[in-house]
Amino acid sequence: MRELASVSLGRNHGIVLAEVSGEIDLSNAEDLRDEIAQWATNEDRGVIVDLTSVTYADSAGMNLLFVLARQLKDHGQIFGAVVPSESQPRRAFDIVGMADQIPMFDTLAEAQSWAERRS
Amino acid sequence: MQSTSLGIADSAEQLRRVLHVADVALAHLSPEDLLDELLIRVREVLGADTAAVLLLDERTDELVATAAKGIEEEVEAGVRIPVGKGFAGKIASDRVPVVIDRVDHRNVMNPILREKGIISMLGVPLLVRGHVLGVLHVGSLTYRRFAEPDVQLLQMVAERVALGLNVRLYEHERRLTEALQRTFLPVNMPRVPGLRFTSKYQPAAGIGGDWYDVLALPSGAVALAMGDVAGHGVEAAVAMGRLRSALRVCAVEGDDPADVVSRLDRLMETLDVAGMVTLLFGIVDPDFSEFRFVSAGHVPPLVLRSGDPFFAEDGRADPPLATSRLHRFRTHVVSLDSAKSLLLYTDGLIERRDESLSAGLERLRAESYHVGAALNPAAALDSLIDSLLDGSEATDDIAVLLVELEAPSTSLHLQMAADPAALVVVRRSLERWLSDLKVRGRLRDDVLTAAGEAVANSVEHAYGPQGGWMHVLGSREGSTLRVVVRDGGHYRKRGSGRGRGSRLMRALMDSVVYERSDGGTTVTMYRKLPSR
Repeated sequence: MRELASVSLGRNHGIVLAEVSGEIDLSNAEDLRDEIAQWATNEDRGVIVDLTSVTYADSAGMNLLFVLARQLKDHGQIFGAVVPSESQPRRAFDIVGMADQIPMFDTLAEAQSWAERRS
Repeated sequence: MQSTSLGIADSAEQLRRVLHVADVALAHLSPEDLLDELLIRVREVLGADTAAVLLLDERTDELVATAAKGIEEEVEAGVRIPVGKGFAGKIASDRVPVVIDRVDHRNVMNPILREKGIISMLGVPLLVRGHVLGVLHVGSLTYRRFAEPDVQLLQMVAERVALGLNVRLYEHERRLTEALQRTFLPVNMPRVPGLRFTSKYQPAAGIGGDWYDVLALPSGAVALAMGDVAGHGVEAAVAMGRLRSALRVCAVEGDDPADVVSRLDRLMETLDVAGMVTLLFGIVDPDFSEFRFVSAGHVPPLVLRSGDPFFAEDGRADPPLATSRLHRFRTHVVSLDSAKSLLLYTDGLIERRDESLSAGLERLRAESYHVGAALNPAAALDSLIDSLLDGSEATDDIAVLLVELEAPSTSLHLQMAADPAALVVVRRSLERWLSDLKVRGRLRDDVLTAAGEAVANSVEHAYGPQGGWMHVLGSREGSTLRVVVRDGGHYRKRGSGRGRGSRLMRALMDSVVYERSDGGTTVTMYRKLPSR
């Protein structure tokens, strides 16, 4: 059985990379957030969440990103999300103007070079 | 003349004595108490010093000392006598009474009988319809010649006892197996919108070795299992329970039926399941377009459609479970396009003594036409079983599982518990509905997202911890799609971020109408389809 969503976690030069695939809704958003948050240590400079392989995300998915971003910001850590344009999540995120509050990128490469520049 | 009247008097006396013993067998006692009470009376009516019952353990073909009077040590020591060996063993194997005038080491195996100083013995088999249940024997500590009337009396007693015991043991086992059955057959089939499950389970005698299972996976896929464990009774039921649990665990971890069945196959030794097990395990994918399955020595699934029904297998089934080590099972794939239903079953449905398996399969195919189109699937399965049995009594257990695929429809109606886990189920149903309407791309995503937010609202805000129901309706009116989400709760604003859900709905749909009352909340959303 596929889980509704899965996350693979890694770390590169002090930036945690969380690659999520599947679907995010009310049933799994909090668990995903905890999984990602627990991986990030105080020593990490920040977190990039890659939603390239997410086929569906609702407002619970947005909430996940907002809460993560706030938690990291409180610790002086950076947070960015990879959400390709034309994807279902991106269209939903754009409607609520999420890009104004969270740095959002089309590709992982863009997000990574942004993180480099921020260091 | 004199002797005749004496004979009658003897018979009357004998009858009285038999009844004295037999009425115990009819009393409402547990099998253990029944035997104890019985032996006391047997000893009494025959004037014997000892009396004992040994019951047959069919697995090991041994007689087990179960109850005794005067030689209680026999039971305490758990004496087991192989059928065919010694005094009791001989009675069981030859099914005839045996009298020993003077006990001799050569013809008595059981050391307790010798140590007790039993001199003379009489034993008879406990038979029910020619089937040996065990042995009943009496003994005397002084020399005694058990004569023909004694033999007859003990035989008559044994006959009644065997019947009573059989009913009692059977009743005991039946209650136990019924309880077990509940653990291996689904009591309620899972609710999967778009699929309808109907099953029949007809054990040949007592309880059988067939089992089936339906498991709704969170991905929206549905796992189906139909299995057959050789054997009957409590042991087969326990084996099935183990298999079912193990298969559920394996199914939850795997995506490919071949992986799932291979994993289960490797567990077989651990599960301690004796006897052959055949299994059909498969997964209906989330959009119900195909059925991927493995047949481990099992009869092939039947696909019913508007045309000829067909068996979804190329004739190369894998071997039954646990027959060859590290066997790699193969996944078959059958398209469900134009399919109306899937029929899974065990070989009891088609087996007949006088006919080949392929002839049985062909009969099933021919008789199954009406099942696919039946309005009452349960009645259709009953009549399918009846017509395949054709008046003869079933010799094997029969299990049948019918999975009907609802025809594509322009409208959708779901009723679900307002629970976070329902979100994905609603989404899958909406996806199928939209795909049937050929709504694709961004428009499809928009409707899914907006409907998902409305449903999430009901899940999050309508009910307290007790929960409740919600309805999701979808329809097309001309060139407009309408989605309605209704719950029966009181709107409770809680948490943050719900405002975002409402914003999404308004942005993605042409109009969104809320109706809130004491009876609940209804959200109706419209979205215009592009003109073609």
